[in-house]
Amino acid sequence: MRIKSVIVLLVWFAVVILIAPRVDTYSYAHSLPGKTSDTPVFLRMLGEARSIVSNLSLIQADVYFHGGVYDRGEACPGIHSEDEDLDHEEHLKPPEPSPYDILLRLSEETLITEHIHLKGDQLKQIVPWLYYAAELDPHNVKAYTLTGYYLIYRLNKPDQGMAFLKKGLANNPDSWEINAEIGREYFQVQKNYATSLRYFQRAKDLLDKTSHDKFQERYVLSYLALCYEKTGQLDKTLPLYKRLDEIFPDHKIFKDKIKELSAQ
Amino acid sequence: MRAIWAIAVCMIKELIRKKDFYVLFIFLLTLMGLLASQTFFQIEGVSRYVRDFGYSMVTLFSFIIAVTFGAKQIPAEIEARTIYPLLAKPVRRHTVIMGKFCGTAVVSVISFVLFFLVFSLFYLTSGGEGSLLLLGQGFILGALFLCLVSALVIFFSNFLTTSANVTLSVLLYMMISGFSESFRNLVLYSKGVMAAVYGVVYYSIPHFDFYDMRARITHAWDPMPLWAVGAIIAYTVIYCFMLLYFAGIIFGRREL
Repeated sequence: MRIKSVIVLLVWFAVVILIAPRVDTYSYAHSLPGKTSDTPVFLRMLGEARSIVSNLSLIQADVYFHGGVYDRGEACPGIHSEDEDLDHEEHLKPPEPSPYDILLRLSEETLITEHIHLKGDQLKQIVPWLYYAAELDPHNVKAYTLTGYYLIYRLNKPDQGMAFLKKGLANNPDSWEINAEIGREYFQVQKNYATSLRYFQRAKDLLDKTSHDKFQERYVLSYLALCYEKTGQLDKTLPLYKRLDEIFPDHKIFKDKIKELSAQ
Repeated sequence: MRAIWAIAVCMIKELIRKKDFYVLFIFLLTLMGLLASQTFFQIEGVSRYVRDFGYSMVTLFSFIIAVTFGAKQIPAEIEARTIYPLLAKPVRRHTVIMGKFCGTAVVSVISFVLFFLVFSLFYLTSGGEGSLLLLGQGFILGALFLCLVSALVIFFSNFLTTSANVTLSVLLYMMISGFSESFRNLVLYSKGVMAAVYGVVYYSIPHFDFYDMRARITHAWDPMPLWAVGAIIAYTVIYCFMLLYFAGIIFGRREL
């Protein structure tokens, strides 16, 4: 009886491992924009947990970015100003333990509380986590944009970064973030303003269809306006600057641009 | 002393005879090899995540060996009735506990040494940042951590079954390692009676977090100050002594 149960369990386990991921793949392939067959079997077996593990991988990238210290104040590795660095220093400092509290003093000594950001060549250490975040969940847009950003601008690997972003776009064609990131690369690195314009136009169309904040809108509209300027379509920039002025009325630069363009 | 060593030698022989260690060793070797051979976007020198995984695996596997070997010692001996011939000899019950502790600690530290050798090989060949002092501290604190785990498991094995002991030890390890910083902040921020309560709990729990060198080794931070290492050694000795002393009392009062 016991052996029979073990055999039944083993057969059931084998069926689940071998057949279920394939059934799952074929059933859902039509609803997924990317090529699911590219995902390794062991990753497909994780099912929905993949997106959770993928986000954990992004958090791990953030931990590495801070030299192994988890900073709850930040969601993901990014660019920080000097002022932001000072803020971090403040919110990381816990109260001082009593000098006679031996264990608390010891724990203070064993803990790493210093706030640092990886710089230069050290930044490559976060790449595995970003890579795995995207591999685990091909719909994790942030994983693609962050990886693209670090490869292109911080690690001087524009070709690899662009290829990765395009892979991300193939998996997520409706992502305004990836379209904008590719557009930025064409604008800043390749100076190919016509292609950049195409990507930012697509990014704007997609952005209009989704909920977004004014900073995201500023990012896309500013680049779009610059692309129009660079390609000589000045007439199309005015409405964009007017919109930017509308959402950021305190920014003098947009008012000046409107004045300049109206004068022409 | 001879009796303690005789009991410990039996456990070392058990380590050699059983397959647990070999499986974990091959798994570690394969995992490290796979991780080290992985490349990302033709970028060279990406080594921190290999160190991170490596040191975590070394600690975890040694912990598994310490817990699984230590947890079954007393319950299994009582169940198989092999404890009676042992107690019939002129051996004090404290000596039996000490022998079981030494056996578990030696077995887990031997495994740790071999696992650590594999890790050190990858650590030293991955190039770039890192230091021998950090590696040395990682080794010493890892061995001390296993001594503490061994003492705790032997203490629990006096009144828990093997499976309950393993579960409780793993849970304690996960909770203390995972929430040590939060618990520390709780003690620091609380006031009045609650501060005293949290303080008592804080001083009672085994601080596995003191031995965690993963972040320092992975991210090439400065080594721990020597006084801190000395304090951790003293903490381990005191904590192990307390656990084994009470384990001996409980075992001595037990009717067998």
